[in-house]
Amino acid sequence: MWVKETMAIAGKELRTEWRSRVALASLGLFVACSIALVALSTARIPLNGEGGKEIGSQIAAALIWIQVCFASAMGLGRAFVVESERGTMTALRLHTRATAVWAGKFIGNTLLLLGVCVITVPMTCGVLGVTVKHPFALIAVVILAAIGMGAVFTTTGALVAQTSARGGLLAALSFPVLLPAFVSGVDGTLRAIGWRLSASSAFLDTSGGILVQLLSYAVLAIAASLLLFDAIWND
Amino acid sequence: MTPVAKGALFVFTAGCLSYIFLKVPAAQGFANPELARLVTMHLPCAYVALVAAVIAAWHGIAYLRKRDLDSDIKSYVGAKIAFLYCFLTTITGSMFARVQWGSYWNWDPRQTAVAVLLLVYAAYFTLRASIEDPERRAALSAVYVLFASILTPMLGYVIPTFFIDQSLHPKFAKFDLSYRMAIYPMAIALAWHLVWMFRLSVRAEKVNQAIAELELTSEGGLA
Repeated sequence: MWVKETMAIAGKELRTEWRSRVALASLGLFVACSIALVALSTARIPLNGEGGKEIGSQIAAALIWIQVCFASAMGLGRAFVVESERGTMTALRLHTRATAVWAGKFIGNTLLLLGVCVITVPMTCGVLGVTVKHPFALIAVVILAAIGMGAVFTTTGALVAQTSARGGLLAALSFPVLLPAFVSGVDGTLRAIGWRLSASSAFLDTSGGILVQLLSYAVLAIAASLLLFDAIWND
Repeated sequence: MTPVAKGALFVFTAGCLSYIFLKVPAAQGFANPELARLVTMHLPCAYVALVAAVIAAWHGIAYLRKRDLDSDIKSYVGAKIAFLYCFLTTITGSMFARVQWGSYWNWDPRQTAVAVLLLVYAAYFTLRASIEDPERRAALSAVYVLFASILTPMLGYVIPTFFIDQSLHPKFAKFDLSYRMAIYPMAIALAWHLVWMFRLSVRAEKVNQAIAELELTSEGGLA
């Protein structure tokens, strides 16, 4: 029953987004514009040669997650605001369990976040001329970080939807809490790119701990959200 | 707090400070052994910041269970005191970092974690300011302070202790007796200050809320 309710909410989120494509289009445009700005601003930095490639890797790893964080702060707060604007919040409260609403919105938000990553990662690496040495490791880092971040943005998005100041509050509330996932995401991306790892060294031998950090953060964020969401939703 | 308790607090704090300035020896092995004594102020501030953060979270849970606005006031005051002590931890830590490691800020995970806690509490105060209804404000603030309390220790404790080998902060610090004799009593003195500030601030906040309610009522009456 709970799973059915969750999937119904997630399906509604994805169908609504697919019909309008507002969030995906605005986030895609935001990422494209920010990458264009990065390309312009780094045009004079020599990123070829051994030293240049190292700088390029560091810039790429940091930029990917900065863009993902800001894009998410722009787009993911809408999930609950839309419900209050359309007046559908009461109907949802009456017919669905709080945790099912959170889980459904979380699935929708995480898929949107993964969509942002699918655009951001290859474009940033391409613009900065970075080659990824451990692509599967990078995919694992992106998926785990997106799950943790999706959980945080869903909960803070629900908090912000209940306040009068929606504009910048989502970023202000989310970023400090997101920092552990951000730091591990940047670290994991650097290692997956191959920064200071010889070509033969296996990612898991040296950097498996980063995946454990991201996984524990995601589990903690989901558990904390499920525990606390009832107090936001039914208040 | 009674005048006798205030006097005792003054004498105890003065005693701790005198011991730190007059008796604690310079710590060999540091770039500046004399100024390594700063740690006897820095660590107690960090301990008390942690205690205040726990108080804020504890009263947040109490509010969500009982829906009693007194718990919300206590959680808010705990967060304010946690913010103050996080700030003091950052300042004393930066002074220590400057004299021992050559730079005020080194992006060490534990150093960053205290700065993140400052940001968390700043966000918490912004969240409170953006909600007018006292009960909704109390519930959402309690949720945020608990959510942050569950997730931020990952950066301040779990990652530096279990996943990072190179950190400027020791994983498990061991101090000799003279330093322990300074750090723990100083932590008790600051915790005593915390209790005093907490009780005073809770009373002040209750008065503030009563005044705000009276103003709202009189505005309603005039309308």
